[in-house]
Amino acid sequence: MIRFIGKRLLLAVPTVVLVTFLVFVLMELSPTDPAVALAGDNPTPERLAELRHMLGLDRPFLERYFDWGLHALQGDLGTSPVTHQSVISDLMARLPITASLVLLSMIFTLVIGVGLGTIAALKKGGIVDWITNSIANLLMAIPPFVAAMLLVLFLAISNPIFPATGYATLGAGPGLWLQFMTLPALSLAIIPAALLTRQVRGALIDALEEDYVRTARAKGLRRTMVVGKHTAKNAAIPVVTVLGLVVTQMVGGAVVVESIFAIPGLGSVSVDSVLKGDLVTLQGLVLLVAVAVTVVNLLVDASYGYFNPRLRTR
Amino acid sequence: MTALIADTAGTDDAVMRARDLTVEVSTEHGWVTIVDGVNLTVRRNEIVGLVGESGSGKTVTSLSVMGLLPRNARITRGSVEVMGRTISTLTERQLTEVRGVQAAMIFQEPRRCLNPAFTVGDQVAESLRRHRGWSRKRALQRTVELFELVEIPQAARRVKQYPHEFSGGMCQRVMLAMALACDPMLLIADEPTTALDVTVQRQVLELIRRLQAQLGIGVLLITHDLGVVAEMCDRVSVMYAGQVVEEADADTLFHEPKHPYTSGLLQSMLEPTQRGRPLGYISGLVPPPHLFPATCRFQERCSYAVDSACRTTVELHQVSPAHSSRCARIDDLKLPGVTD
Repeated sequence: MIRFIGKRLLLAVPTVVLVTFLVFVLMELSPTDPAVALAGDNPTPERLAELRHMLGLDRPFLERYFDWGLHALQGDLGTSPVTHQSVISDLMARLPITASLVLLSMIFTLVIGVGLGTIAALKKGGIVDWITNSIANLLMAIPPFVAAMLLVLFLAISNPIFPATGYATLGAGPGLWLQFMTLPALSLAIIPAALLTRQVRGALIDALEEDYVRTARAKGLRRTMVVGKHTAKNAAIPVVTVLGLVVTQMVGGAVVVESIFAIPGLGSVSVDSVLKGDLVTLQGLVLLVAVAVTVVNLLVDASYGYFNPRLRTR
Repeated sequence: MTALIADTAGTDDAVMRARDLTVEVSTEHGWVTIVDGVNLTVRRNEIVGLVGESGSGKTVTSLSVMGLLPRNARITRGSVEVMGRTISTLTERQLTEVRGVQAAMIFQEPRRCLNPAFTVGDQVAESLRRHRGWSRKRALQRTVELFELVEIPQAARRVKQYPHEFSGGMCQRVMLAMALACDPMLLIADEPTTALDVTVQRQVLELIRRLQAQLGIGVLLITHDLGVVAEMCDRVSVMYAGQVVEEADADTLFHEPKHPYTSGLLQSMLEPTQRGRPLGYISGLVPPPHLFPATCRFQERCSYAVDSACRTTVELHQVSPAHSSRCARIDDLKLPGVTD
């Protein structure tokens, strides 16, 4: 198992390097000139040249990339030319905010998806199954920003249960944090929850038809035990796979949702830095997200070994 | 006919008794009878064979004994008793107290019957923890003993392994250990060796016979293989198209079959001692349940069928106290059995 994880970690390194390189290329090709963005209105050519030199844009592309990479390895992602702050410390300050948003969203996804999916599978072909399936299909078609608007409209404005925008840290008290985070997390969770509902239903129906389920019943296990133990562990593999994909999608969704709810997380940073041409912060952000996605995939891979013992011996 | 067979079997020793058991399934043709008026008794200290081709209703019969009929099937007439308790009157929760404790079952394709995600030891111990309320540790200790009972070598090490580390025959031994964990008095073995290699088949069958004798339990052995029946069974019921067509003790059935179907099955047996004998066969197929004829059900495939007698419903006739046949020409036919 440790060897398996070690191998995956080694394979992950080139992935992360490649991602950062591609983003560097993309920014090079981007029509946004950070010097122009930084210089303000009607800059003189001398001023632009000075800014380009300051940003290192007058150096060759590869030299800039390697220079950035070497610093990144030492935990230095540079200084933002816009905010004049250290990029790594800015990102690290905001990471917990987005992480907690994604985490709460995952909890919603799991509770809704596993709950509805299990009920639908156990009532396969019945009216309950049909209703959950229809709801899941409907929810799948609602993008996070629409969901966010609707949730705000109904649960913050018409019925002021939750605040419409804003953020409180966990340190301010879990109750307050939850109050601010519920709507953003819910709007982020809707599509993943619908996706997971269908995945759990399918995986569970397949597992319930296996011969070992009949064996479990023949030895006199109660239904909760048959479903909760014998089918759950086997149905978990496709479910965990979807969960892994969902987490990475949530990181993208967080950009939109954080903007709508004015949450100062990584999503807001990415929007700000794009608008202000802050390529240094953007590059650091991409690295952080690439690492996060890689770690999630690694966890998903590692969980396969737990759920399917046949993989361990290979 | 209903009472005949049940009464000829001993009353007190019965661990399982089906009376006039009739099961219907929901199909595209509506509710169709697939098991029709089956009487069957299994007593302690005996192995009863239930023989028939695919589609004859033998597996459905055994599943109704365990209360494991699929949702699209229902018992419409008659009853099944296990240790005196009528299965169809029990709730699902009460059924879980019967399964594994009073009656246990092993199946075809043992490897598919074990959960790939848990160790075999855990799956056997689970039964003890559920029914006896034992701790994980105590149940696992007993599991090691059970593995020794079913002759799995290096039991203490093997309990910690997963099903994919076991051969098919070893998986069936694990299934046996699981089935016998809580000392049931009835073991149903549904084609237990069909999916196994021939050499392994024999070992598993011998193990079942030894355990049956050692534990004094009753075994209902479901098979299509008359060779297995000859080696294993004390009594045999032959099923055809949802009905029992002949019932007798194994010796009588093999030497003096009283139903053309049984006789046909015996003629189609491979016997190494009789090389060169032309192999018999029964032409045609078992009809699908919605086309079961109202006449003698075997009539269409029967080489002895005559219009006058066989075109009506045929009841089970008693030949001798322990031998009955569902053949209209029972008195004037002399059917070939096996020759020693």
